[in-house]
Amino acid sequence: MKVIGLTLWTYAAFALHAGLGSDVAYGPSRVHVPWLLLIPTVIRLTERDGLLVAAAWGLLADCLTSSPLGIELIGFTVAATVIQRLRRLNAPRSLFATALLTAGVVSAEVFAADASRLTLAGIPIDAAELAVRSLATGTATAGAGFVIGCMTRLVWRRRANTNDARSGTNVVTNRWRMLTG
Amino acid sequence: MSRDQNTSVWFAVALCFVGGSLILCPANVTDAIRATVHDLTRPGQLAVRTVADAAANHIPLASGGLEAPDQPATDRHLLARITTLESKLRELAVVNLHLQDEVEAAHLLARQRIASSDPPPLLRPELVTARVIGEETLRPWQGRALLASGSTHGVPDGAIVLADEGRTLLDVGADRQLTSGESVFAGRTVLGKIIKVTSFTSTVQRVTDRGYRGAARLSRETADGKLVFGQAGTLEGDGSDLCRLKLITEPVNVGDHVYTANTDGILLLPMYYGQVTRAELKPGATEWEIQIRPAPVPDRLTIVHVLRTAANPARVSAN
Repeated sequence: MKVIGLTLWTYAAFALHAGLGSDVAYGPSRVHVPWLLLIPTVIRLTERDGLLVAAAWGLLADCLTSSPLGIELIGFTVAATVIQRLRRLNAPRSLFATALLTAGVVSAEVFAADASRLTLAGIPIDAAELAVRSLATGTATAGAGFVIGCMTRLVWRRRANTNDARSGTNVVTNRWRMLTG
Repeated sequence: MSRDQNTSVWFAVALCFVGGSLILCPANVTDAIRATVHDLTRPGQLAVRTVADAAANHIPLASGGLEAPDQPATDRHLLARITTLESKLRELAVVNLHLQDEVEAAHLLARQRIASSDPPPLLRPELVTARVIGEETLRPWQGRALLASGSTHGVPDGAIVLADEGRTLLDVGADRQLTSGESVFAGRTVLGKIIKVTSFTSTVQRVTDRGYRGAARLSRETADGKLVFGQAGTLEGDGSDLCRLKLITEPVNVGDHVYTANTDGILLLPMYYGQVTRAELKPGATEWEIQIRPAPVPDRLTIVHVLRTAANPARVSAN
């Protein structure tokens, strides 16, 4: 069941990534859909499963580029290792911290992967331009993740409140009365 | 570091080693993997694209992706109309030039009292309409269009890809000596060419992409509106928004137009690349440095036309 779920999740990520293309772009910023979905996936899975999924997604991302296979595989695997290290250190603790982590990791991965890809293709690198665009991609992805995270939390909170109201659970207040006396 | 942590690190290193091996793998091995992934993701991409196109038609903001349009809808509609009319004008100019040549040739034959008995051509051009389903990226901000048509749909490797400019695909050339349907290609904007074909998808290399090369020739309009073709050269993409035209030694003016040249001898009428924006002959040089701005195409491509050749039924039945 877990494998089927992961397969469907993977398919959705890459169909959206390749299908939406510039539809999820604003100037130089473009939401990197696989990274947007990979970070929560890596955080939820066990270390080895997380690395395996990251590597598989990296290979799929490689297949959707016009450069030798393997660059994104390495990039995704290294980035997933960094995320898992940080998770072990009990970081990030909040949604905002997760968004910051996403921005950093995605920017670094996109910069490294693009620099390697362009070097292998024999195209001269404009490091400043590449850095700006990688940062824009990382920030856009983190921003999209932050908004989705906030909306998901709001929906869950509202659903939980509705369920509490239906089940007649006493609302806990911050006031207390002395039972004796 | 615990034993579990060590295992994870070694696992990550092993995966990176696999990645490194793939980088060194020959292209024919990795191309098979890539082609399988492209074919497998095609249904999902088609579904995503269908939803995105439907959204773009209903939500004005989505018509140019998340990019907010600078002009109101009427302006954009007018721009699209101008593009279509310009394309139509190019078609008429090119067909007009071709017909003038034909009339001259017919007069010559009539003077020499020779009956023309040319057989119909063995091959004729055809357009395959293909839907754009996504992008293959070298850089995240510079995508190559992925088409929902591949070798099973008759898309050949290296075929010219034309932009959809809202022109109807009417066969107005069949009753003339033009190859059947050829005038519908005349003056159309060349978007690029097919560089990779899988069973169900194909990838377009744009004219501005690094590595694009195509035969091209200069043309300019005379004062009375006639098109005059000049020297042929090679159009190359350099990865920027512009192209370069090389091997030109004759004088060039800014504003001259650039058309395709010598498309395998099958297409008599040229297609359109763009306009000269800079032309410079440096002291001592024999070759001009020419910069071309490709003809504008919509930011959001939905449909393109792939030009292929097919056996001419008229010639086959004649044999």
